[in-house]
Amino acid sequence: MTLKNLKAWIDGELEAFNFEPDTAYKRPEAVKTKVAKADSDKALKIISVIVAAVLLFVMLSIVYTLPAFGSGAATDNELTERYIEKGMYEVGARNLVVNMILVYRGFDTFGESTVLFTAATCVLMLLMGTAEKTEEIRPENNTTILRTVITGLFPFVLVFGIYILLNGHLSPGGGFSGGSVLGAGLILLDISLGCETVRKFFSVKVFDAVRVAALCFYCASISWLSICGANGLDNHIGTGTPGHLFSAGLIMPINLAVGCVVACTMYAFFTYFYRGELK
Amino acid sequence: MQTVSLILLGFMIACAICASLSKSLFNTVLIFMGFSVIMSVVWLVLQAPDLSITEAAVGVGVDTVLYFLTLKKLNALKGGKENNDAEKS
Amino acid sequence: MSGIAVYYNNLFETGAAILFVIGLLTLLLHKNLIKKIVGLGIMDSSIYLMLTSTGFVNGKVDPIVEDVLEPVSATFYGNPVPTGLVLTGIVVSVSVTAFLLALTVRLYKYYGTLDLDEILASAKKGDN
Repeated sequence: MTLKNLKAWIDGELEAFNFEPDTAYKRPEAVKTKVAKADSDKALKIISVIVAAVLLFVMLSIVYTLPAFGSGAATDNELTERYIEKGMYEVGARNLVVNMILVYRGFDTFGESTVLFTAATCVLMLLMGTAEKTEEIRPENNTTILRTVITGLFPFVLVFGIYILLNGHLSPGGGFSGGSVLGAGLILLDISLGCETVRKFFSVKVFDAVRVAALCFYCASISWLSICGANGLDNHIGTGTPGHLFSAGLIMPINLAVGCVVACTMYAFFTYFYRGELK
Repeated sequence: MQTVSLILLGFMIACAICASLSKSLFNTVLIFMGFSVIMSVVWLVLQAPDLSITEAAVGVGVDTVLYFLTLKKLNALKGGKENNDAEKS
Repeated sequence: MSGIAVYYNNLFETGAAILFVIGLLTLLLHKNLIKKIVGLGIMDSSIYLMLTSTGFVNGKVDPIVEDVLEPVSATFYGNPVPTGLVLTGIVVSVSVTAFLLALTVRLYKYYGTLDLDEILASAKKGDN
């Protein structure tokens, strides 16, 4: 493959595949103000390239002085030993990352949930009035394959998402991954079978109730753990036997709550972008 | 291990450069999705399975869907209503 | 050549620096709004790569306890802290991308174009 063929393939103009470049991202009838190419444009481009080259040189010279890859000189200290050696006995989860995120540094995860919730609210505010009255275009010859495959595939996606959520403290996974898989499954069902099928079991009332209840439960449990820990009181939550499903105290309910919130948020993103309203 | 790392990093840098130079928005989003998938494999090489599952679920399942929905709203995909009208007239 | 050997040993950190600069150039040089958002995503991913590759230790396994009956030793399991930091980062990256795409949709509906120069010129003129 020559260099010209590579450039043509990147631009989408290779004749063997009959591609056409999608340059129609501007509406043809919109009145556009003509912007003359000024000389300052070229000067700005040259300045940008020079700044990027200087940044690359500085970063590569810092990489030269870093400790060798895989030696652990930068991050192996007493903090890591405490988290690894005492983590499973003090908190009870087999997955050392989850019990660091949700119990030792639970406040950081609380802040991350705040960021996610704020982003969902902002997307809702921005896209609230953009519902269009047109029908969704669905070519008829694409529907049969999609319906058959998704009807067979959706139960497995659902089971896999719930498995990741429930086993967050025993194997890799956790609240955010399981919630994303569940949300992706709901999006799949909505795209192929239409929104009436999803509204049969996931109406707007269920959506609101699940989201608010999960957030309130998450907030209450993290507050209880933080207040008891900061004042030296004893939170009456046991650790259980490591390795069992019902162990590690409050970690499994917190994972379920975070998963529900994330699944609802991902489905809300999709609905607001696709239809402009959630109804 | 060094060979695998070298090949994966080479793919990632090539994907990043091609996503930047492409003239079609559709191709850019597809190449960016490939970049996410290769990043998910790199997390496995670096012994972080939590990140691998999260990057695979989020980078492909949510990020790419949002990009394609935005492109549909901006009428930048072929076969949309506006392109058909433009072709007819 | 000890210079190239150092970069060949720290392969992931070098790759992270190069990816960061590629993302920055994409953000600065293109006028299309979608390309700028893609550039921001590439910059985010390069920073996560840098964080995790600094915490990697040869010979240690991932931090999931395999046998619950033995005492857990810090010489066998890797470091769980960089993994936690990057998980938070991935969530923030997705949220910011969703918000920026919603802003792009509203800008397109109002100005009719995705070109940043034309949007700024229209806004300065004060008309629609």
